[in-house]
Amino acid sequence: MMGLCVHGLAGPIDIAFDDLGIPRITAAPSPTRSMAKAMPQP
Amino acid sequence: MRLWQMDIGHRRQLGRLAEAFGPEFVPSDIASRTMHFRGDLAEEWAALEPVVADILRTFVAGINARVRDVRADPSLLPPEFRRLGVLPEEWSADDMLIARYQSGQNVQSELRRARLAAAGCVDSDALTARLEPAWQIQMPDGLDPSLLAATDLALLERLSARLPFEKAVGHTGLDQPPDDSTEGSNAWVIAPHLTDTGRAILANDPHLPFYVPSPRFTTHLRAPGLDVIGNGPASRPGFQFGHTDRFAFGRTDFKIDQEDLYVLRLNDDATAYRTATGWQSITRFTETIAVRGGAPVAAAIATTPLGPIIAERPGVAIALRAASLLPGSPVGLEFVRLALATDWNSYRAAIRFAVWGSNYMYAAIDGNIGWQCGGRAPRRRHHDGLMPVPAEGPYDCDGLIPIDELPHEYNPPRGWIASANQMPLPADFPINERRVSFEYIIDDRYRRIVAVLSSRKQHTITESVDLQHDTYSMRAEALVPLLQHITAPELAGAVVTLQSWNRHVDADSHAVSGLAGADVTGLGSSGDGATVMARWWAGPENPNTSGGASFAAVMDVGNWDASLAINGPGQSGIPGTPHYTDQYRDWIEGRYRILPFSRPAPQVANPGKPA
Repeated sequence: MMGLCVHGLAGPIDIAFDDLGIPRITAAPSPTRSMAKAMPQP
Repeated sequence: MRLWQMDIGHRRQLGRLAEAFGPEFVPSDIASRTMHFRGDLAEEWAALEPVVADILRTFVAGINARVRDVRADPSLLPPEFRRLGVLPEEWSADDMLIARYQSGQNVQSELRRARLAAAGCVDSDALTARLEPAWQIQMPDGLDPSLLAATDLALLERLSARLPFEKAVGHTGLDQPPDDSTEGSNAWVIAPHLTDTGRAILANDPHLPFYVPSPRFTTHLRAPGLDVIGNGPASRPGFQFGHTDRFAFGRTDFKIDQEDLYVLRLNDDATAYRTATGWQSITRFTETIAVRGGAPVAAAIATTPLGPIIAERPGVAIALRAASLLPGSPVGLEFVRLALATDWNSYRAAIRFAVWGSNYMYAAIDGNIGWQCGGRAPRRRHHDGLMPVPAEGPYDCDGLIPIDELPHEYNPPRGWIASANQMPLPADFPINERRVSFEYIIDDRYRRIVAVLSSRKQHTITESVDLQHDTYSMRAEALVPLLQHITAPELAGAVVTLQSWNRHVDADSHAVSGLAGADVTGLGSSGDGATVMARWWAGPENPNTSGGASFAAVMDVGNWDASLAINGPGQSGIPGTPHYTDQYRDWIEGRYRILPFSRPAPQVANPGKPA
């Protein structure tokens, strides 16, 4: 949950904590998560 | 894992400590609220790109989902809440735009110089505070330095009031280092033609006071258009350090002068202050502060178009203009955007949104390396930012200096770029037109990093880890030769010891122990505030090491699974759990862990589960 909280992802996700407690979060496609396309180019 | 850390930081920033911990925190709460952004929030939201606004709102929604979970089931509460009888509070997305001031800039030196000027000896400031580039302090026309008082920054000092448990242990790192010359960060990037692997290297070790849980939380996010591992404060979205599938990124502080003190001459009823064009109204209001175990307190707050009033007495007020409180300057959003970049140009585009001053480092899988200074840099045409200025003078800032006019490099011929909070302006920088800053911390770490990087024709990941733990003292290199002038017989033994010293500030060094009169640090750590391996003490009353690099990484750009990192003492904020301290021993002993990036193809589980 915290990984979601921290980074603003929402919706269907998979979280697996590794052996150091690092959350490995995978999110399914959604408009929010396709945000790279909205990145402005100079 | 980090709910306590996030909640307490949020309470502090919002000025809501007293409602949890009692009346002694009212002064801190008033200070925090005084420094809130008081402009038009609707305009702030409207100025954000939709994707960034969406991320901020979703971020807060995620926090609130967890807060509701633990409030509904107190068995989920981290132990600190239970021990102190406090519950976490839900956040508002507006909080991310309101609480954005961070103290620690040059207003202290502005006030010091004003006090010296009032005593007629401002030139003596140069004896203890070097200005870079070389500069003669400009006395603002119309400034009466006697109007400033030694206590004018007391409100800012109250921002960091210690919590009950902090007082019990003396020091937890939530306060500032005792000597601001020590806090900073190291970062360097090395081009592929200078590494043994033919791939670029990015090394970064940011320095902060030590505390548990660690100030940063590591996360790996993968989503369409996004694959990034890295870390930053748990209470903010985005990443300050890490890498995507295309490039590694990191940062150090760039000490832009982002604050100015203004001296306000008030009218008789203190409703307005004098400007060059007439009287300007002061906005005054009260906020009610809830107090645990006590009656609510009405806090009187005053603000002006220049910024909040931080001190006031009959006829005079002191206002603080801070870059982060200007409209359109919410902090930290570049860390959301950096992870969305795909190349150097889009990386630089993200940096345009930076508010705090940073040296942003970049090393990509295509072999390119880069560095860009960023942050809100006021363009001061009529003053130099080194002294307070009178509000009735022509001292308003004339916009901001764009990052294109700030230092940057891309694939420099030398093959590497280093940053350690040193003065980064090149010799031909037009400082008179762009008065970015004249105050930087000592450059000992930078000079040592440059000496090591330039001494090798080929670099390895391991050597960068070693350099992050380098304890060679440039300060000692400069000072020890002067010992030859000491002729006092009673000091002869000490002089011989120091002259034979290898100049490394190591915990087991006999020479260093002799200098310090004790072990270098209570934790047995080597290094000091001027070595690349930065460590500092809480102070004479507490010999424990209290600050330095708790997170460090060396990234093998492109072969990501060979990247190394340490985040001491661990990931978790829950005492007693395995990840609370499982990186502590490695951190103390200078060992890093592999930071894997590759993962099996995503298996999306629990579809539809809300954040």
